[in-house]
Amino acid sequence: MLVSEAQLTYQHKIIFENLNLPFHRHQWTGILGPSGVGKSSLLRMIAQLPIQGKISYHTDALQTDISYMTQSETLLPWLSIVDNILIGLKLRRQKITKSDHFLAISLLDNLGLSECINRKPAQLSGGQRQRAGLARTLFENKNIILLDEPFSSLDTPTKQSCYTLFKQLLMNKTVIFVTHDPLEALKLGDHLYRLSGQPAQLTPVVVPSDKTNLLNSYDKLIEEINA
Amino acid sequence: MTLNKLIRLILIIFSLIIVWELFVVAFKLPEYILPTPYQTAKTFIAQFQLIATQSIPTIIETLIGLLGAIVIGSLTALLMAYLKTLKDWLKPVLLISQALPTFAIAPLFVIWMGYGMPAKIATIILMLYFPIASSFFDGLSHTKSEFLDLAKISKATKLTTLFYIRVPAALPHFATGLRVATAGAPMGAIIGEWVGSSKGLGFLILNANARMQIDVLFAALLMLILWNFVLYFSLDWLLKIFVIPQNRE
Repeated sequence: MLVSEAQLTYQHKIIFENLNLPFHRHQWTGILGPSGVGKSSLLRMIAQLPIQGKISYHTDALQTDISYMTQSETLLPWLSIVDNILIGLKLRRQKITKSDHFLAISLLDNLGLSECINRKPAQLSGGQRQRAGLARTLFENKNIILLDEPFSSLDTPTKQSCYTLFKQLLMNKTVIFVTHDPLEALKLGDHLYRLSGQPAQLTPVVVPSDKTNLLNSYDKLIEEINA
Repeated sequence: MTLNKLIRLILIIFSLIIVWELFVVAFKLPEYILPTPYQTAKTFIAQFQLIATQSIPTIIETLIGLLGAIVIGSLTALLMAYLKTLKDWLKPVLLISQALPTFAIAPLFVIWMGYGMPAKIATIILMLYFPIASSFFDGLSHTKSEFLDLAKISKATKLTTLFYIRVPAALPHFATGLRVATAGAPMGAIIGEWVGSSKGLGFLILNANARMQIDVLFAALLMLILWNFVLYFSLDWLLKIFVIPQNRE
């Protein structure tokens, strides 16, 4: 299990209890739900990050194997993009070798950010910053990737190109993403769960087999906008 | 500084001089009450050697005092940010340092350290310690939670989190404290010199006042203002180069 018997109490209110989320290895698992229902807290539990409120849970995920991305990009504004990619090494007091540098630059190249290597995050567009965040995630090369509404601040065309890119580059990873957008959930998820109610329950959502057909016309429209 | 700003600054100074001149003329004030800007300028030039010699100790005191306050204040803030228990012990000390009236303590420094520079430097440090330490600590303890999440997920140590994340994120706060401190530094030197000294601009001002040499007093004040300007704008320039652009979001 990714999370089992999870419980969150905030200001004497039970947000959720006895929540279980299965571990779908090498696939995308989406958690869909309205804001304030505890989606992000659930994700933070997996990442073992501090959460406001009283919590208890078990997880089979190792923290050392986890990457975590949020909508508010976590690029450090005082570092250049390439230094942002390498910051993990610095924080762990690991030596930055030439090959680390080379890998970071080639990742940025692959993501179409070769011109941004020495720029500061503020000089990049929202989509570029999100791609730089992905570059750091890829550089860290963890097996479990947690995405907390990573696309919600992007405009629709940029979102669409990010979907494709993330899907492609995080192919063999175990991805758990959180969103309030049903369309996004349908597009990205191999498995979907709806988190709703008080206290919140996790209900599996059937991912329609004909979702590509359903979304064909939508995609076409986006492609037209993108062109 | 842009041309616009420069023109505005010149206009401000020019208007102040005109108001000053008009004030003296309108109330027919004698020279020993309030000299005109012209007389002040004349004295400033005539007595320039005296004023310049007397400003050297003041300038040295200001620089050493400011530097000392930056070092001690920043170290306090870093220690408080790094060790939570120490924070609880040092916070009252910080507040006490701010509550102590500099004017009341400065004579004590003269008794303890004598008439020389150390007493003045101690006065400046006492005055500037609080704004520097408290603003830097404030910045260190309000690091964006996203940045701290990043440190945690990257398996950072407490020390690397402090130096690679919390300190750079706190630099704008540090800069604010430094600006406040720099503006107050020359005043600290003057207070230190007032309560007991044999040289310096504060000594000159006090002496001129006692001898009713109001024009010398004003000329010394002018020098003090100039020094304050030079100090403040050099620091501002340094901050704009090294500290501020790093954090622009």
